[in-house]
Amino acid sequence: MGTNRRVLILADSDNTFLAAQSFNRRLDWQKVRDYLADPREGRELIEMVIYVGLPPARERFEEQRKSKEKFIYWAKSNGFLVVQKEGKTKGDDYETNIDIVMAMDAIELALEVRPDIVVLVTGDSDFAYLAEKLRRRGMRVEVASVEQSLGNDLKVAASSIVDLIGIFDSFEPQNNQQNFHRIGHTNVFD
Amino acid sequence: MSYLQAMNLLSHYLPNHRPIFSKLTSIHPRKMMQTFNGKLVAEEVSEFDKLQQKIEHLTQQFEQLEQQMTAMSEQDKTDYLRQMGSIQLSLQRLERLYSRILSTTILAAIGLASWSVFLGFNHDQFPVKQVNSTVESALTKPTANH
Repeated sequence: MGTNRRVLILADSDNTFLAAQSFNRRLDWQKVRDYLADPREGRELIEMVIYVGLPPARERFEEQRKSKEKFIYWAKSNGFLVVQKEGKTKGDDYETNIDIVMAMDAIELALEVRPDIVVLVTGDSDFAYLAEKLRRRGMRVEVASVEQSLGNDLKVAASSIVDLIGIFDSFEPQNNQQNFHRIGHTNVFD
Repeated sequence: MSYLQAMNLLSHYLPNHRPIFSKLTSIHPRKMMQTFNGKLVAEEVSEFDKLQQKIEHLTQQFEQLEQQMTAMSEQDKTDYLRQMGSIQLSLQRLERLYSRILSTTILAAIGLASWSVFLGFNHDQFPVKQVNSTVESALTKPTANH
């Protein structure tokens, strides 16, 4: 085996969850982690950080909040590093601005840890500037997402795109709803 | 050192195995890193890559040996030159000493020869003078008595 590349994975949980949901798949974080940092491919995982935006502690968001808290507990128990941020109500919905936390954290971690590769598990184009910043620091930035969730700015800013469609295909179906993308009938990345 | 240079060097040092090295130079080594679905992955190292690594290692050892040999021969050469210099100096001293001794010997010989010639000349003149004086005295003595 050649020289191992140190990989730092930063995942936007909401974006990735929605991407998996759009394919009617139950997101398997461990599979995603193993796929993105496979030691057999000479990729050595430093850390996988999952950024979770918690709904505000209001009655109407109670179910969502409990669900996310359960996920945070599970992720922490399974070796993931979890960064959570309390959300604020905005009309009927809420916002967490977890992307700002993720971007700042990514810069800080990347400069301290100096990984060879930073994998951004998101399709949000707000992270395009982050990708550019990291690349300017000599790091390879891979964006892991699916075509349907990937913003064009992020696609251009990244060093390369990792298509998660294949790994999504190996996940268990989430439910029987019909309103989702069919895997295998989409023109994935060029 | 490039791969081709290493092969050429090895074929130079191991002329019996030259055909093998010429075959190896015709094969281009594969890239170690490549992307797979956007991921930068390390390729499995083949036997050829292992062989290449070994060859590179051997080449490095050869270079080190060559450097050591060069350094050693230079050292020997310096020692030899130094020894030659000291021998030359000794020879020059001996030559000067020999010249001095020779000149002294020649001068002494000349001196001795001239001395002996001088002494011999004086020795030859002495009896004639003595005889003459004796005869002269003998002839004059009786005349005085009468």
